[in-house]
Amino acid sequence: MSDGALSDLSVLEVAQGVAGPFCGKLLADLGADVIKIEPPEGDRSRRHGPFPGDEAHPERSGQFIYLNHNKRSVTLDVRDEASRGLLRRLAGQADILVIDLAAKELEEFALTYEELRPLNDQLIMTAITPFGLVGPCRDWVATDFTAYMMSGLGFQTPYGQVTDLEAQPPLAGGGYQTDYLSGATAAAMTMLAVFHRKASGEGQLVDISRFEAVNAMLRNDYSAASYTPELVPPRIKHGYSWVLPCEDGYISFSPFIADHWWATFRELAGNPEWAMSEVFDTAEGRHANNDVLEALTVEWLLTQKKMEVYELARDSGIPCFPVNSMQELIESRQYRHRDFFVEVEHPGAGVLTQPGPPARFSATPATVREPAPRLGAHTDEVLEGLR
Amino acid sequence: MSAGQYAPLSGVRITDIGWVLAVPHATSWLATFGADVIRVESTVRPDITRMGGLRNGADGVNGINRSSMYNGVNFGKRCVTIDLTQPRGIELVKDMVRQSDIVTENFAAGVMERMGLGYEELRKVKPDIIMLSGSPLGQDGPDKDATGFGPNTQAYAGLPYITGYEGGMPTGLGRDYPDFMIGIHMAFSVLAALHHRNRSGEGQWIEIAMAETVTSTIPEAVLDYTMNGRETPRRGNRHPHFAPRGVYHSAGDDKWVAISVEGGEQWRALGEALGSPGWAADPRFATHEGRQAHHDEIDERITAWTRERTHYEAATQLQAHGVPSAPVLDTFETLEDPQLNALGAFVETVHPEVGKRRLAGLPGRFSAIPDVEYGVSPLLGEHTEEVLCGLLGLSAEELAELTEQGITV
Repeated sequence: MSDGALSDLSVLEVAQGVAGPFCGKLLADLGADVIKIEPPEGDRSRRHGPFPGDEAHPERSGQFIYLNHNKRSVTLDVRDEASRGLLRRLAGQADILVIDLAAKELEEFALTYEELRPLNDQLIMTAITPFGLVGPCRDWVATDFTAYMMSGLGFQTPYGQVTDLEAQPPLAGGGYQTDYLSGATAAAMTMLAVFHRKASGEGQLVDISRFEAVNAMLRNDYSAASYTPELVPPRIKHGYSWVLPCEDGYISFSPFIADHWWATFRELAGNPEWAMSEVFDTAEGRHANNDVLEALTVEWLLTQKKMEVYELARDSGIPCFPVNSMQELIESRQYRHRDFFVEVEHPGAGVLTQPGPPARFSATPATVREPAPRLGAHTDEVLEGLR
Repeated sequence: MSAGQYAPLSGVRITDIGWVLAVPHATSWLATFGADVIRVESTVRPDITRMGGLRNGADGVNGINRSSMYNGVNFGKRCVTIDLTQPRGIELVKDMVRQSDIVTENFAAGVMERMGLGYEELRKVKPDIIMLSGSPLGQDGPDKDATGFGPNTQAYAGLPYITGYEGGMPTGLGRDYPDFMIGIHMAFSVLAALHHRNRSGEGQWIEIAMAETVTSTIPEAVLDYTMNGRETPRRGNRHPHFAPRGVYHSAGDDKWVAISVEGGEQWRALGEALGSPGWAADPRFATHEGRQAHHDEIDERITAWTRERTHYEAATQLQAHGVPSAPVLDTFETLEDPQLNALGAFVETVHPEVGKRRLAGLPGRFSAIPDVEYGVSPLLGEHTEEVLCGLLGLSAEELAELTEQGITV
């Protein structure tokens, strides 16, 4: 068993919340040695929760624990020059610096790449900011929500379900997709810089904008805009819905797109009269009459159990998944079979059941080696190493 | 290729048997940074993103090489056509794998094994091969055969359950978000495995269940359930930690400005940005709890102000006071957005069949690779001869024979 795909990399993480720490987590779970710098009051995700029993406690935040196991915690106050001196020395020894200070803070604190490079010309500095380090909005402030809304993705959420533009304004994605996506983007770009360093012998600055990271997820729309602008989807419902109601919940059911799926579905449903109209026989016909077809399908679905429709579709190769709640996910026989959820014992919060890794590596699996650190637990150990 | 003198992935070859969006997205990152990505396609079963059924051809005209969707996600790659239903076709793919570092695919679970291209087979051909397999629910388990597009798969993963208007039904995130997001995890995973192989000589199989990847990005909802037995309610644009938070109508049809306020300091800043109207000093709104309790009333007050301004004007004025805010942009507005253009978020390529077209670039800037060049997406089978004769060493006669037999189609 290997000690991890990235066990030769040392990372200094000066980041809070989700985006930077998720980048650090992806690296740490594959073996990188991540030193996390926290302000004296701790990473703000320590105050985020969820907390067991809803009792807020900096050592029991679910979000913090999920994002920060396998890391060492050092408290340093970047507002203090002496602390920044230590920070620079740590950056002088690191392979990678993941930092989420605002552009003007990097300048104010003399932590720009130009200032760090003389200390370590091998350093890869991955700066994660809302809008990037250049441009007219460089100094704008943002949250996960506002960046999502500006990126174009907010305008496209909910997708294909808006029937009233006033009553259904652009909608936030659930959770913190801007930040998780930005963290993954930063991790992939950081690895590219690792390969570049191997080829060139040089580190560099990697400038990641959360706003731009989300915007890039609309790749199909931008291509469409350049190829045939009429193909860019409007916000108002314009085709099949991706989520439909059943008797006991919701499913994402797409039998309409290909002829063989539609034919199979019709047969399995017992060739109901409503589905037999000739206009539905071709993909073009179904698309042109999707409002009628969808309404009829929903009428049928409302008499069906979602798991029964899902299993029928699954066994006949029709695209379909149930909309799962968290309870249904935890109890899902597929996730259980694959042991997706992992139990992690944490000294502050007890045993937590949390999502497993986003990818499975046969030779170098992502692992939880150490629980998320207590605030400042490794300050002495790490700073003594500097002496 | 591209990416200048020290292309990070120069010398890395990828046999890409993936299709649709997630894997092609991953390999477009790798191609842009120097990897030689060779797509294996066929006219027998073309990538569905090339197809007219998706109505995405250039200038309204469909065609196998005219697809906006395909060309928007396959830039910088080569393309060979090989019929994978024929044993000789499988042998050709193995010959390619023998000269590759990485194989990527996202067929349904088990398809690669049935074709004789499973990981165990491929490592016999190339012992240190890195293989990436993506599928909706993974390669094993009772539901491994369930199928669906990214927007279907996210439903399984729990994300739509926590996305929606208050009291409304679950909803999906914009368009093909899940595929593209998962593609980034795929790119990262391949790079990590390549780093490991370069150090240890050891290849491996990376298995991605797309639903699992999505669930790994909603830990707060999962943990609130496992810790407290509570499902995360759909709350529209509201959030327990922020108030007010929402999108507010600005001047124009279906134009909105997003505002998010956390804590007293931002609340006071919002009041100042709005010209310190009397209502902003209402003691009922002085605490976070008070603002949550009177959210509707506050929203009405804010809307009266935003209605009078364009979304950019409103956001700019709020930002001058440090309030997190942003115009809610649509696709055509983002294309013109000064910040995205300052970042170089959009690039142009010149495609031999459809000419000069714009596409979204890769999100990030490298100080040492200032001149990232984006390649062109390949025509179907454009590089069949070049790869089979050049890389695999087939003679012109052998290639003619394969063509005759319908294998390289």
